[in-house]
Amino acid sequence: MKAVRRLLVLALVAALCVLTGASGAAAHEERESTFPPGTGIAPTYRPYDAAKPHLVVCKSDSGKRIAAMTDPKVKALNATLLPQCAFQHIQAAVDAVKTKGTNIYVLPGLYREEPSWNPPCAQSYDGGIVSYDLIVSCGEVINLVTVAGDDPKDADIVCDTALCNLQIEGTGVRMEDVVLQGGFKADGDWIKHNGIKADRADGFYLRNLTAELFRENAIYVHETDGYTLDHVNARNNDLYGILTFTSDHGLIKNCEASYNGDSGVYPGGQADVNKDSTTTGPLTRWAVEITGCESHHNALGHSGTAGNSVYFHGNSYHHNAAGFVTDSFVPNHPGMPQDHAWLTGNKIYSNNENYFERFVHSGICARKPAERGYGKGTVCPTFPVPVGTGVLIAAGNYNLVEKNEIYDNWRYGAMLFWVPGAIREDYEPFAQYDTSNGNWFKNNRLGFHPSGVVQPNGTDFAWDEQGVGNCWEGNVSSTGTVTDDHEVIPLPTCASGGSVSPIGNVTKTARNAPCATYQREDEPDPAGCDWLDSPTKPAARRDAPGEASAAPAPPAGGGNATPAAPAPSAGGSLPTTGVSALPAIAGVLLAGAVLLVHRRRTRAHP
Amino acid sequence: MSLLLEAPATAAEIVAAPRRRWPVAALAALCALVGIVASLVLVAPGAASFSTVVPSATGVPYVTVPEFGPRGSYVLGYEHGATVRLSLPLHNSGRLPVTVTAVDLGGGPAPLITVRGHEGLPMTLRPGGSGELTLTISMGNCRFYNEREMQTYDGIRVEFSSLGRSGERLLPFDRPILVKSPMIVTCPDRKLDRSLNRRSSLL
Repeated sequence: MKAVRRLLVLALVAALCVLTGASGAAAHEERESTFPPGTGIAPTYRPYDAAKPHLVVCKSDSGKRIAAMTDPKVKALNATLLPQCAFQHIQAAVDAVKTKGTNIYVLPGLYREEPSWNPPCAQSYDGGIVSYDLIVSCGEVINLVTVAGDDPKDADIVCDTALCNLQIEGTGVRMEDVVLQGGFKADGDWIKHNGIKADRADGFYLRNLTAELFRENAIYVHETDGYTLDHVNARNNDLYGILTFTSDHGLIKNCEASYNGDSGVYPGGQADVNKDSTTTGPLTRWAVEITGCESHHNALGHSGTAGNSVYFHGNSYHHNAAGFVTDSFVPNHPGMPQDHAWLTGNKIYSNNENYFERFVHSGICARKPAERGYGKGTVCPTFPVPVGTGVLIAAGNYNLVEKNEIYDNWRYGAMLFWVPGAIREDYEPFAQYDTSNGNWFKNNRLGFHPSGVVQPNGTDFAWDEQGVGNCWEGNVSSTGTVTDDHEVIPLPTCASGGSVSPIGNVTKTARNAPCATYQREDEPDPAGCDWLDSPTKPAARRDAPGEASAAPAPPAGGGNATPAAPAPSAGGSLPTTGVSALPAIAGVLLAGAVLLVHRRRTRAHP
Repeated sequence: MSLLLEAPATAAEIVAAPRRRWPVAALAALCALVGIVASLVLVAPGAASFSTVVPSATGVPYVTVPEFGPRGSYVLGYEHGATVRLSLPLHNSGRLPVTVTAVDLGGGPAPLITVRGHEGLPMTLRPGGSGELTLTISMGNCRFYNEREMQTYDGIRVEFSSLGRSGERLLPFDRPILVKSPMIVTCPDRKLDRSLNRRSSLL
């Protein structure tokens, strides 16, 4: 009984963590950061003919790789560039830039950037927060390649050095022909946190290369106003593939991100350019545009704490544990609470990969990094997500999710819930109910594979019945009727004005619970947490033509919600230490026995 | 009926019989008394009863969110290095006096908040009596938590005595106290290398 009560209390403790970071949306550790002025523009591509100053980087085998090229146009350009090669490392070329608007051409090859591994300036780094000054003086403490464009001597964060408008371009036929690789030290630990970081590097353009195997991020853009990431591949990292933070005027296009332990693409703390707008709808100004990207086999396809004004369209996010996630959980992200993401025309499907069971619970992620199998399919999720969810808005406002194809997500097609401001360290009373409001889910197609085959979501929409102005309208489901998890309040239509309750369904809130305690190292499998279980494949699901039974890991333990944990009884009903009423009972029984014996003796011997 | 056929008792027998019964009856009564007293003493800790504790805090932000969680939540803002005074009104709702001798907030290895001192202990509470316990707690272990973690303190474990016997009890808060781990910018001890921040390494 004691054990049972303790379990109940533990369950309650977990339950009361409700939503406390339990979303898959994520965050990262960084210096104090602010938005750039917002006067920049996303740079456009400068072709070779328009590139005045340019530098060329190559490897000893670049010539051989170029000789093997079959595309004559690309081969010709590489043949022109090869004789100009003056650098063996990308960082060396960056350090040699003298003029704004320089192009750096990186010829086919594998770039490990060995001089950045352990330079003298990094010897005293203690692993803590990295200031911008340190980024400038010794970016190698954390980055394999650093592009820092702001002179640290001035007070602003605007790019004002020769590294402004820098374009770095791989010259291969494919993204994978130029690889920036971190990898592992001899002791099995990561070599570096970040691959390439553009820090206050306004006008930065990165094109046609792959970055892989970093402790944190493969491609990182920070406090930058105007950047384009074009045809980049970010894979096999412990946290993020592509991360942009406190930046503006970004364009991420035609990217691929896969096998990352947090998300493939993360635009977080984005310039809050629509913060004063209470309109949900197509944006005319956004902080970052993400289009033509394929993000797959990550813990999360997309995430973004304070992922504000993200214009997300024409992407394909699939075979992650969760597809698109945005949130307002974590403090120190400028632009809280999250607002104004616009998701349209995307395919978000088959996000059912259970990397928790496969790699965390199996113990693989507890091994040294070099022994986990990164690059061979391993993903070690750093944060919990409800496996099998297509879109998750974990506290956000005025997000528009429209005209997307959302299918084959075995738990939820899309999920929306509230988180109080105190969780992000905003303790003002009004901030406790400032999410989730004004989110619209309109005209999405749910449960239809493009081939026409039915591939339903487990439930089309999940909502905690909280918020003002949230609505669902015009969505079409393969199940005939759009399915949802409402207990009290049905999904309101937009025509009705949407939802009206600042207070949500507490039972639902509690149901999400125990997962909040997940931590890959210290609490990898929280008791009672069903988010990390594989959801049940919908019975109506049919394989699409040619689909090689894309079924992820088979369901384990079912996907039904866990009942809310009961509250402990008031008044302190837990057991005390080793005492009971037995002595009293024994005493009374003994007295009774004495009297009984006495009476019989009295009768027997009158 | 058979008794009616017996010879009437003599006067001596009538006087003598009670003399033989009294010691036995007295022994039985004594046994019962000893049993009851022993039971009272032994079950005293188990019979003790406390009311639900309604905590309050000063020194850092402290917010009540009634709708967050099944019973609502208190959110205690983590400020690295801060000292917090946590007030815990205790009420003895039982029928026996209790003396609270020690308290523990728990939290496992490297808890985000650690009790550094207290005011009000030992605290004797007569039946129906109340008192206020104040804990001085420090915030100094954020290094061992990632930026999205949170610790939940659901109640306070008290050690107490009642009628000379000791007991232990978890007194639940009316709402749990949530303490959110900060980001690295406000946790100067944190390392970017998460492997250096594992609580399990302390075990």
